[in-house]
Amino acid sequence: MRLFARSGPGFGPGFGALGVLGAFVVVEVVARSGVFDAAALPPASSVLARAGEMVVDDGFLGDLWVTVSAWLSGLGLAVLFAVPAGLLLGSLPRLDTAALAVVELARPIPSVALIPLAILVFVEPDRVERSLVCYAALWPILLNTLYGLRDVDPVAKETLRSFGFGVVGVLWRVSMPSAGPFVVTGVRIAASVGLIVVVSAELRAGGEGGLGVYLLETQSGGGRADLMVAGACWAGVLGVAANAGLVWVERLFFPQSRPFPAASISGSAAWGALPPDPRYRPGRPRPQTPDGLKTQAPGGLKRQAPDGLER
Amino acid sequence: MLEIAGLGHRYDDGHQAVEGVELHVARGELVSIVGPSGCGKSTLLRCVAGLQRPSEGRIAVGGRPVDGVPDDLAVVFQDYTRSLFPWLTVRDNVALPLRRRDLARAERRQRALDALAQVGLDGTAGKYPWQLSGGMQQRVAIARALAYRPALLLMDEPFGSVDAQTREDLEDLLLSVRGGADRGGGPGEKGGGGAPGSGGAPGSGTAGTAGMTILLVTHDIDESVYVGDRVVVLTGAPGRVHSELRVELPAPRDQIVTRGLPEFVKLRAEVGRAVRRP
Repeated sequence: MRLFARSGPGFGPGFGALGVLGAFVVVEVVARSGVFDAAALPPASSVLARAGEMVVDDGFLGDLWVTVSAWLSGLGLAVLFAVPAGLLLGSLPRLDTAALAVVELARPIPSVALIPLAILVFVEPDRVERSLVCYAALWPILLNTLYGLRDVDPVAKETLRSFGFGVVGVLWRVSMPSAGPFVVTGVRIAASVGLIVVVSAELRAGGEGGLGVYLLETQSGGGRADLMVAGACWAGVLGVAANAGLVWVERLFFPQSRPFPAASISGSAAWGALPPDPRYRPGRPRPQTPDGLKTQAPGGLKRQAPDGLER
Repeated sequence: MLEIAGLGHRYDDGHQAVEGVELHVARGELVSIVGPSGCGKSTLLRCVAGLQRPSEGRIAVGGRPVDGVPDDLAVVFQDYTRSLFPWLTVRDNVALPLRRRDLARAERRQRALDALAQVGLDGTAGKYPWQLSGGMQQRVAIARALAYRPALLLMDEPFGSVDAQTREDLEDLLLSVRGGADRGGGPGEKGGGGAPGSGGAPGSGTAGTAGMTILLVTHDIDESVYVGDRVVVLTGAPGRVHSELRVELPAPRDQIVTRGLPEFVKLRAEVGRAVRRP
């Protein structure tokens, strides 16, 4: 299974490995050349060695576990809130319009800016972290659920309606499976944002343990740059693992997205990014606002009637 | 089976799609509806299907006025790529509507497989719709409607998005599933289309689909004559019934032989004139 989406012309995984090796060598050579302070830029080989040692370091593993549990529980909480909220808003256009204003106001606030407030309100570091992750993760999941529901084909819904299925039946059997890949993409974006937030919160809020706390500790007494970079690398591994896991979940449950490479995500810049869609063609505008829905009414079938008479 | 009286529909934007449509369809009849583009053919079908509430007039299916989607009805849409569900396998696509019938899971699956065999798609059950060609996908959509064994089958330009060869094959498929005789599927169950459930002996291919009433919307004049028992011509916007022609072509219809018959040529010309000159 591919962990990364192909972003350029593909020449097989060998070239990817070559690129990683090349970067490794460059960092190694630059660090050893003495151009930079050895304390500021540790050689790649020693970072790799420290990172390897950390696997058997119970202290570090404990810190890692604190981070992972805060991250995943915050993310899980966000899924529990955002997906039902998205389904509700997506099914009730009027409520959607009213709520959208609130969403658009709350969404641009960087979660990191809320760290001091969260510390004031929640006090205990693990609660601070979990609530901040939850807040940050809420928006991409909510918005992608809404986009996903708007993208459901009206013909698919009418097909099931014509067989006598009601509103709930259509929501469960058509809208949800159709919007599913969008929701999973929302969770993938939320996971990467959540990781940033949880480490940031740990750096600021401190606490008993956590990756951020570990990084702060390596700063003390002159600092250990190799440990810092190694710890940061493990945070990166967490992000990659979460992404791969969610791509796997998407392909397992939503076969319609299987023949298409999963979109890669690029950290917090990927707000509202959308998954690949079998029906998507470049140039076809996606409905981004509730107004987009108006183009589909009235009489959805009218717009696709072929013109003219044959023979 | 189907009674339409004084049907008119005006969309919210003021566009009058159909006006004063009168139509009576007997049980077991296949009626083709033709008309120029934008004459409200699809609107008419959507009103019958209960997907659209008409602004005036009455529709009754099986003696009961249409209020919401009628029971025992299936629709085959033109756009199979949008009408089939890409997250379900071919078999599950066909079996899904059967949840509305009182059937056990195994029975639903068996019926789906039977319907797929009926349209010549054995061996595709485990595939996904997007792994099939366009013509095969539309066969899946037809199989889904057949498996449901509706009393009334509505088809909205069902062969409009496939190539000419596939189109002819699908026309013959439609004739064979409703006739039953062409495929040697035993005695036609007259009027059996209205009684789902109890039947469903595995293997009896056309059981439950013979005797089905079919309303087929098309813009293809030849097709309307070739498959229809009767052709209803609508005039341009707003759509009204211009004329009705009874098609009395000999029973096993054949793409080459039937289309060469003088009666066919004559009927086609009549329908063509009616469509062109309102």
